[in-house]
Amino acid sequence: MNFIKAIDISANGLYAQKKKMEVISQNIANADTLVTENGEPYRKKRVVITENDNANQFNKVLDNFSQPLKGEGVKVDVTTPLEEPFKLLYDPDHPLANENGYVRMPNVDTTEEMLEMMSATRAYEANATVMDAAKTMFQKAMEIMK
Amino acid sequence: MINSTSETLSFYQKTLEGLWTRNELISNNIANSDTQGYLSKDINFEKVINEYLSASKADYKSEVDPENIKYRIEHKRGLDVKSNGNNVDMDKEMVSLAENQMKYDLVSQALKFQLNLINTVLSESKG
Repeated sequence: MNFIKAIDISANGLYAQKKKMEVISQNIANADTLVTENGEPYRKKRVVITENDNANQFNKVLDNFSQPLKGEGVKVDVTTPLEEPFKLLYDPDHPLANENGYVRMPNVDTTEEMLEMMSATRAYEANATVMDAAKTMFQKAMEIMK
Repeated sequence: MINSTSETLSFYQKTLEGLWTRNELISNNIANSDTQGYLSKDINFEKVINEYLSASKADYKSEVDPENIKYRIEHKRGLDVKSNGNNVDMDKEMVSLAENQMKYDLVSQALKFQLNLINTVLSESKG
């Protein structure tokens, strides 16, 4: 029984969701940023959550040859998806407008960000609940010898 | 039948170990509820325990040692896979989390009772 590991997995999950929340607030805050360092409008960022299963460790793979690995929480990476085009806004008087009168706007969709935010909040709550459950179970184990 | 006290105790210990592993797997499933391509995992706890219990019931003198109880971690079956290749069902995970917690509570109470019995015997012998 590894109490710390159970807490670790949930803490990992909490961290991942918090990171997701950070990226969402960054996106919303920059929803109107027209010029960034590279001269383009702001591009939305996304987190990529992957399972942290240490599958690349050779002996672990051998140990678990015939069954799935136990898993050790999640890993998070922040990426900038490039394929989504910028939105175009027709505003000929704008100083950044091109020859056809269009201004390139960031590819942030506020509605989408809001939905992502709700799912992150729920997932955060779920991880917190699991951590609480692990704590209660550990307390029960401590009570055995009382 | 479970014969000796030490066997009983190690049976309880194995049961708690299995339940704890399941708790870790549930945490992992919930932490990965957003992970692309993640398939939820579970432990074959009920199957192993039932096999052990029926084996020990069948033959009083057989050599069924609780130390031989070995669990396996498996992918859960029959769950809907979402568009991102993930099949974690949050509601089901939450239900099994609560269920698992109660089972753990129950087994630890049983173990406590068993230890109290031993304690009683020991204090009686002191006279």
